[in-house]
Amino acid sequence: MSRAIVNAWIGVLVVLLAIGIYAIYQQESVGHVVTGLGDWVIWGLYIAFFAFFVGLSAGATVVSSLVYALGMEEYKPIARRSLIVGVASLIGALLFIFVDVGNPLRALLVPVVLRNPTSPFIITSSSYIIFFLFLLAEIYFVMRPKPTPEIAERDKRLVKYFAWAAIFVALWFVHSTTGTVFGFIKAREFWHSPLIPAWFVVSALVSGAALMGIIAYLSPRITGKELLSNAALNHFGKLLALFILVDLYFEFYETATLLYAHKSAEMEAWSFLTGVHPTSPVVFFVPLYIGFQLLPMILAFLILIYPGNRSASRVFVASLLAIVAVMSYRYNFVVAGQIPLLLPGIPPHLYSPTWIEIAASLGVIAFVALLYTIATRVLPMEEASARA
Amino acid sequence: MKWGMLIDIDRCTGCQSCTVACKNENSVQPGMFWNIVLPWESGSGSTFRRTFVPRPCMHCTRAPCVEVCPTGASYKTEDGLVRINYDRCIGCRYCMIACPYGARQFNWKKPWSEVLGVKMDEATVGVLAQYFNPEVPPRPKGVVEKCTFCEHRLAGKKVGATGMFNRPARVTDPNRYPKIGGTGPGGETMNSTGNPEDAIVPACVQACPPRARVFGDLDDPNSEINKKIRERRAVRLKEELGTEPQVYYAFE
Repeated sequence: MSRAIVNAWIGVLVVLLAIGIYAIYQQESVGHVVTGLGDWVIWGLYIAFFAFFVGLSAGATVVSSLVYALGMEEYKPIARRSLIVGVASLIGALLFIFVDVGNPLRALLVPVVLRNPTSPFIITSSSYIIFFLFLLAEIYFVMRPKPTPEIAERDKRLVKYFAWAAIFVALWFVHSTTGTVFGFIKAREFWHSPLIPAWFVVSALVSGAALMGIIAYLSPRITGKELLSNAALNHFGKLLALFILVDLYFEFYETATLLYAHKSAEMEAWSFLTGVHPTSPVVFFVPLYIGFQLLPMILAFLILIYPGNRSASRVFVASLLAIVAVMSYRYNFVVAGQIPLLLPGIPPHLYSPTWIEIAASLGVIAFVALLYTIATRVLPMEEASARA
Repeated sequence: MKWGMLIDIDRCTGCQSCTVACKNENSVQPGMFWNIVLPWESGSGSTFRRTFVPRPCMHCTRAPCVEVCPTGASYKTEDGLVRINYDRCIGCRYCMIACPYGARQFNWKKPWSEVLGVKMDEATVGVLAQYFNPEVPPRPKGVVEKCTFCEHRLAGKKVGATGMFNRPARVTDPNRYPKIGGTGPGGETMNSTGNPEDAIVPACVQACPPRARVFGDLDDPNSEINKKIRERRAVRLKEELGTEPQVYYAFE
């Protein structure tokens, strides 16, 4: 039963990956004209997913560090899975950059030879590489066989150092610098805010914790092995609620500042978010911002703080809502920042992702899911002593 | 040396000659514009007013596009131009995000020659030279391009520009770009004075029928452009961003 589900899941992912590779091939042979992008909205779905996956990577790593650095042993069953999510998402984020840029092969040289130190991309790409190596080392020391108690003890200490460093790198560098890619740009008033790096970090924690909540619900139902105890899930729900509350705090004060100042460029971006602007994305008759960013986030918070025990299904539903909200946030933030015209009189164009963009994105997402699925099957997901 | 331009909004009629001349001169692909003329509208009814504002690349002194470029493909040259090295550009389009003036264009499509399968050997280039300027290198798909202040023309006055096949651009033949000297409606000397050296100006400056554009050296206090900037109290766009553009606008 469980094997059939897993095989079907892998089959779906392989099909999505094949379609995605075809879409990317189309895009590389014809040019980025097959996307909905243009000289007005320059960055679209790819960059939104890039930011989302970097956040997922940082957030999931922090969840694993709750166990390895802060010693919250109750989450131990999902700690190794969080590390795998961290690595797989980071690979996904980098793939989205390579899908987005015009010369992907040349872009490989950026961290090595083509460097301009004043570019925010240099510190982001450097921190992604350092973070990637850190995660690989941490996974190695967590999972390698531990024949004697001395080695186990030494590895535990090593992992603790790595886990603390991972928290620091993930929060201070990896996702904050992703925020500065947007927050440093003075030409785009909607992005140009010192709150952005912090907000990015908090929403990363929400998305990382939410994904682990989803995995903690789905994995036992497929493999038949319980992951988190009821008490741990109850506590995990509280943690997620706290992250969501801080995220909503940033949302509130960023928006309040924008509305109070009502600068024309920012109000144009706001009209895009609320569905007034002619190019606003409206999904199922609901503006993307209200229906898919704000409401799900508030709903997830309410579900989590509702009195009573937080059951697995409750945490699952809230996690699902929160992850949709963060995904919409990334898209809304990236596109809305480019909506205000730089100078009056520039002819605008409509941006909506084309099927090529959607297929390529689904392909990359399927690749990340495939990496996770294979890694959790091949690598030891439980401690050797517990199995013996 | 620091090249700069002054655009007299009061003279501009919005005829788009600069747009067409630029596209011709630089073989700019269909759908792309290095220079555009923005219609700025204000008021309504009897107070309605439309002003035409030509917008080339500002060649900012502190260019945000140069600062954010991860590879150094965009850079400032010694004579104050913002230049793009197409061989270094990875097409991340961060410069387009950072440019406050929307001056940059991405090559979303393959160039016409690749689409038609034209082999760009020397013989073909010789034939095509009558339709496409051989002094301006073609841009491949996936890189960003923008106004260069017609650096191949300025090559007559400076070094560093390269033509097709990375040959050094030949010193511009003044006969190829006819002189436009003479005096303006107010009797003032125009930017081309009949001296062949002064005929070497960007195509948009040369093509402008009302002679709204002045081109010259901003470092020389006695240059015509600096005199005009002082006389007309010229301003720059989005001065508050601190980009220090080298394109000035004059209006009453």
